Amino acid sequence: VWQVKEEKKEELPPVVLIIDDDESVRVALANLFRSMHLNVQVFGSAPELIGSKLPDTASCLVLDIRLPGVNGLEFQGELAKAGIHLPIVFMTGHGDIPMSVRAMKAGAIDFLTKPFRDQDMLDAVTRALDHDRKRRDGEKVISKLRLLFQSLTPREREVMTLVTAGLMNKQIAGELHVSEITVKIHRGHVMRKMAARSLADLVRMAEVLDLRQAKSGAQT
Amino acid sequence: VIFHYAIAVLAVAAALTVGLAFEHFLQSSPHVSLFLCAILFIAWACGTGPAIFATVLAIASFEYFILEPAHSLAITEKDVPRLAVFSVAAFFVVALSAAQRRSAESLRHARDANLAMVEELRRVNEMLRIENAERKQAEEKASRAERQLQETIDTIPTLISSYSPDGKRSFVNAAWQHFTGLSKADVLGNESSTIVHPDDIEIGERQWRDALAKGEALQIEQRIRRADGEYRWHFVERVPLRDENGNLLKWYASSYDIDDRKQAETALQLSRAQLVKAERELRLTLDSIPTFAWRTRPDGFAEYLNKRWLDYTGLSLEQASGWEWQAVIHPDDLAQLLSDWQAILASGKSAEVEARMRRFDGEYRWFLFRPAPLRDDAGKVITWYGTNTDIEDRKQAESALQRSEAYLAEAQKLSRTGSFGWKMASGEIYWSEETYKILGYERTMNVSGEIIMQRIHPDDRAFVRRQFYNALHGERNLNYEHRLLMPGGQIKYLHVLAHMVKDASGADEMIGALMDVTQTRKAEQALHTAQAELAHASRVATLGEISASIAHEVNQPLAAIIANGQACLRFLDHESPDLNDVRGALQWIVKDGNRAGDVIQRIRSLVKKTDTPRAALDINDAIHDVVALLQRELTANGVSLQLDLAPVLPAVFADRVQLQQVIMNLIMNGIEAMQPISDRPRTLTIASSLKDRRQVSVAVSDSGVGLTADSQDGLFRAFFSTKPGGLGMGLSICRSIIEVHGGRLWASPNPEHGATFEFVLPLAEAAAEEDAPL
Repeated sequence: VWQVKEEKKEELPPVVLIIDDDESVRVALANLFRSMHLNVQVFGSAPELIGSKLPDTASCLVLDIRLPGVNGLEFQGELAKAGIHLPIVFMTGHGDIPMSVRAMKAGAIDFLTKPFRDQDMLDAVTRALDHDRKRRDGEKVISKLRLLFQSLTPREREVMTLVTAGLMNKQIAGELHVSEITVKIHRGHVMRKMAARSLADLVRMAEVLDLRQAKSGAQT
Repeated sequence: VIFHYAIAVLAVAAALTVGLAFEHFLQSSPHVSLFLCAILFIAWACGTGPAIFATVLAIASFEYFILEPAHSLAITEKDVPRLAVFSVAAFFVVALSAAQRRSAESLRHARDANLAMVEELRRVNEMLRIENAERKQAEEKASRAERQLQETIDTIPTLISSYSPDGKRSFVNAAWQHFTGLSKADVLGNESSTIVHPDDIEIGERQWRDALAKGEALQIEQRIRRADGEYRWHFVERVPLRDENGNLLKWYASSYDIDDRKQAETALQLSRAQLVKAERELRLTLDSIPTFAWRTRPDGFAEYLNKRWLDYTGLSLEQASGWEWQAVIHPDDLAQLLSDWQAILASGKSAEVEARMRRFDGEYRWFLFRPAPLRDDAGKVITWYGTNTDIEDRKQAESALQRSEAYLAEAQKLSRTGSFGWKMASGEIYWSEETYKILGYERTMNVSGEIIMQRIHPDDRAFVRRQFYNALHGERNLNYEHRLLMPGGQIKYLHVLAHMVKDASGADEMIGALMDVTQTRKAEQALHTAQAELAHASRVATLGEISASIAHEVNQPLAAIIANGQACLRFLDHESPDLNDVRGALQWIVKDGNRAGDVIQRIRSLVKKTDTPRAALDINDAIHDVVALLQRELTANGVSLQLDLAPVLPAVFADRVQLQQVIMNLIMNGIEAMQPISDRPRTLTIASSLKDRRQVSVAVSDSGVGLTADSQDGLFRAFFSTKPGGLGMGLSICRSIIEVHGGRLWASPNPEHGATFEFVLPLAEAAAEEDAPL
């Protein structure tokens, strides 16, 4: 929260992504969202979406729970695996209630039964976009932290990891086989480069970056 | 005489005139010759007296008129010789003429006398001739009478002859000659016995000698030889002819042919003997022939029964004659036999009656009784002859025939099959009883083409006429069906099957059967209805299975319509609405509305219960329609569809809905077969193609579990299902649908995975050809 407000800057208008194999439905949804002053991007199939560059703005995904080739739930999982965390609004046909429940459990924003009321769709999409906006904001902090983290030298990263793990300077020096003074210098660099105002701040950063878990993952 | 003298004067005057004329005109002196001529003429024509007178007159007139001096009678001297010569000449001429005249006169007299004699002779001759003719007439009369007599004698068919008193033959008539073949020359003067049969000569000669001696008439029968050598019996009578004094002049003999009478007598005797013999033989024959024979009196009283009859019955003649024979007639037949027998006796006509007769051993056999009347010349029945013929075998054959006919009739009745015969040449038609019944006619009805046509359903008449026409023009086999419209409005279905055969006379005859297949047709129709209902039920069930997909198919355009509508409303709420957006959305609304309508139409057609009429259709269209309905089902099951359709296909003749049902069923089967598959792509291929230019083929291939030997066997059986909840009707119905369309449906395993279901249908043109009326 502290960083979002801080980093607030002009963003592109949000985009609603639609996947439907039925052109009629695609066009209709596109029309509906345009009439709601929302930007729209349409895809005929899930692979088509995965294969294309997604807009770097708040967006959400509207799709039918039954898609050609792959079902909505599986696709949901695939997206998650691919690190695409788009909030999803499912459209369902008659008799797909159990599937819808599973979708909700898997993190879908909402599901609408076709045909749906426009207001319901608007509400769902608004919620999804808000959700995404928040997610994106969060992701922005993280990525900024990552940028900062990446600006550290390897030694500084090691020091930061150990500091945020709660080790004393002396312990760190011992761990790294350097002098305590050196540790302090690294620590000062870390604090400055990471723009941490306190050790607590840095510890939170480390948590966000998940340093303990993904030493190598953070590299990418 | 005066006339003669006048002529003399005139002749002299004429001569003088001519002489004077000559003198006057020719200056020549008149000539004495003129006077001489005149005198000559007078002497020839009038006689001597006038001639002398004329001479005198001539001399005088000559002297007077010519000699000088003229006109005087004075005679000069010089004229005297002239006058003298003249006078002499004149007298000579007169004398000559007189002499000639006399001879001519005597000649005439002689001729006249001749003529008179000739006349006399002619008259005598004529008289002779008349006399002669009269005599001839009398002679002719006499000879005619004689001839007539002769002819009479000759014409008499009796042999007439006459003999001299000493017994020599002096005359034979024509009949005699004709009979004996001998001429008069041969026999006249001979003895009488030359032509008599040698056996009769002796007695004939003796009697004849006696007769001659006594001069008494003789009568004798003897055989006389005829011209051809045959001796025939004759009655010969010889009578003597005497003159007034009682002297014997000649013998007359007559002889009659009595041979026929003689022979008739002999024959009568002979025939009497033969009759006796014949009767004996007849009895023998009657007793020995292998037929039962009998004789009764006109009143039916049995007089005679032959041995065979008696042997068979074991009765003696006494036991059977009269009316006793009734004892051996079967009690059931007796009354009828007796009444028939009485009727026959009353009618006097021959007839036939059948009855059973008991054999000596007690067995009854069927006999045919055949009495026939024997009538006298007046037509009255004298006696009845009769035979009994054993007809047991025939009777049994008859009853066998009756039985088999009854069986046939019963079979025809049971199978509702009638038979008929149709003689092509005469047009004669024969019907069995059942045929009458099927066509609804009384047996008494006269069969004809018209009454057949009356019963034929008006819509089928042309067709049936064509069949008849074909039969008349050499078609040897008929096999067709048509409808009958019965008087009550009832419709019957008739299957007619007929073959041309040669009858006994070698003529063509159409022999056939007609079967009332109404019930079969009705059953078929009921079956068809049941099948259609089953197919419908199956269709509805299949639609139930895919109801989610169908709902989706309807829902999609519906959702799109609503979304577009809402979008429109929102567009219009904008401060400056972009009408292009609104128009675009509305166009989509219309499009989606139509699309939803199409889907509903498809579903409706599949849910409809009634059959749609068959029509020529493109099978690719049907495939596309079904695929459109099942798209969602395919995607939901993760099945990718490949359409491998021939770009252009000839039409097939089919019920669109049923065909779509088949395709839908095959696709659904394919989808289900691939449900357990996760290690390979689920691919369904639908291919259409033209096969052999005669059939359209549709093949649905899946990559599913494939066919097991078990499932392949029962695949198309009703109630066969590999699915836990399956009714097992789908493929069975599919197959019957395809077969009703004249096609085939089968399944075969794919080389790698899954199975292919394929069906073929005949082309519309080929189907149309077969689409004859019932």
